[in-house]
Amino acid sequence: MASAEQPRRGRLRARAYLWTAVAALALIAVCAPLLAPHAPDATDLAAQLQAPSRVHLLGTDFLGRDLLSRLLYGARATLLVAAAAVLLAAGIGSVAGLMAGWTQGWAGQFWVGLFDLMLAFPALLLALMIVAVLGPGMPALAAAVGIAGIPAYGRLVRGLTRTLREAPFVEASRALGGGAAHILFRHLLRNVARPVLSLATLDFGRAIISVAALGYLGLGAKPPQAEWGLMLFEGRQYISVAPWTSFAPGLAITLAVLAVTLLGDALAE
Amino acid sequence: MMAHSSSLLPMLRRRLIVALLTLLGVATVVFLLVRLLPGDPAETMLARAGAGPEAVASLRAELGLDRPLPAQYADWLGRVARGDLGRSLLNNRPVRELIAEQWRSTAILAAVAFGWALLTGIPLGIIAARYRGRWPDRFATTLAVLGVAIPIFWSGLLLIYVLSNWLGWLPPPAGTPASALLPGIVLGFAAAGPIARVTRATLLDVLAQPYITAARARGLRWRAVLWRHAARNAAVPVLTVAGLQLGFLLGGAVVTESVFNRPGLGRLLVDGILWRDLPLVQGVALALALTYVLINLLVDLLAGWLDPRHGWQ
Repeated sequence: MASAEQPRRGRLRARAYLWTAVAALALIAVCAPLLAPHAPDATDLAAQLQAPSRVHLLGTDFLGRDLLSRLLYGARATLLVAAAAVLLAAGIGSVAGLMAGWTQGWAGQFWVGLFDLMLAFPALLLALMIVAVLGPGMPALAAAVGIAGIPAYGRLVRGLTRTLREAPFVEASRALGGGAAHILFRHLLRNVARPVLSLATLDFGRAIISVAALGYLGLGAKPPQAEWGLMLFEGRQYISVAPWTSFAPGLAITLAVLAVTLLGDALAE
Repeated sequence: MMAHSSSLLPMLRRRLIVALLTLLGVATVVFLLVRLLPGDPAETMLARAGAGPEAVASLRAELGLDRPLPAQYADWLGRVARGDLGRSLLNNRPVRELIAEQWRSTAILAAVAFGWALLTGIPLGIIAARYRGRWPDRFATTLAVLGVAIPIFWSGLLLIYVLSNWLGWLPPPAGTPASALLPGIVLGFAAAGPIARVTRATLLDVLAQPYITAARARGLRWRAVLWRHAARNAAVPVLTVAGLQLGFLLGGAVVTESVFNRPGLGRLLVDGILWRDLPLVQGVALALALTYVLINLLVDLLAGWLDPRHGWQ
């Protein structure tokens, strides 16, 4: 939401910072095993709930596990699952939206009805129920959070497709003998890519929070997995003696969501 | 005005039909999702009690799990239409009774949160639009983004920690009206951001219109412009996003109730899933989705009433 009065150069610089932050997050998620000073699930009952020190830069949790290492591995779990969820939602949602916008009559109405039906549930509630059906495991978690995100993309792309189907370049392609599949995937998909990307960036924030919330509720990642929401839940019991065990994952979630949300805002302009 | 009122009835009818169809769809989705839950619920329930296979079979028969799916579906729909949501497997009490006990707690939480979101979101948006590009705008914008970025389960925990460990203040006992205040504020803060953003954006949009420039040129003060012209035109988008946020609050209540250890529909749902209590999960999910659909219908009708153009779409 950087305002229009801001000089253009400042906005570009802000965007560059945000890209850097998001790239750093991705790098941490991918390189967690290289960066982590300890094994994420190595318990040390002699070193429970230790304050940050030189050996354990962020301290240890209730099983004496190194918090920094768990935080890095947690980036892997939380962010990669969220990223997979967004890819799934954007992919299926965009294709469904293209179909919904292209087909007329009851086929188009079917998609609209389906999107509306999915939107009749609060997104987190839908994810919660799907994850209950799919059972434990990170792929199930990604699928649940992803499916709950589909209708947002479907609606966006359907609206764009309906406007674009009458556009001169579509007419031209049709006149040249372009079939529906050619027009849809060759021309329309390219034109909806930008709005979809900007929605996906914002949606990444929702996905991170959903993954962590499900972990926190005991319906997502299962112990001893290092996942930010689950870590926060495990830390909350010790908040008065070892606040760092819940502060670190909480701050990590907030910063990650902040980075992608601000980037999404910048891209939406 | 005449055209407006004559278009209102068909619109009302259409919206009601759509809402009814959505509800039927919601009931179907809930039924299917819960039937797809892994594991035999009868076995899961009785395994804890250590019962034999005959007991499992009789419970299956009692729950109707041995009948074909379409029959179960028709049966279930008929009972739901009569308001019978079955009995909880966990404590054998009617699900309707359990929901009736808990909905007040969730409703109070959502009401406090919604009030707080409106009370902070709208003024923040107005201030941001009024001082566009200056520090009050940046402050309001930052606050709005933070509200979205901080997960409820962390902001709630932080607030409890700061209040109890630094200020030595104890949360009010559960059940008292004051006990809804803290979770309500935490949940409301998360919903205030989008409301502030839409308020700011629509106000800026309206303020750029020629008739506003004309009003300003006639020497109308900002306050008068805001209340007499801008507020009315900004009302519909703000109302729409507020309705969406109310739906978000229902989902957020699930998390908030767990963080604050507060009873409510959200806790009931999570417990139901954790214990594989099918009828309970079905009932609560249905109740929450029903509320959500009704809120959206209400917002839609209100928007159509506030802005006749809305109804023509």
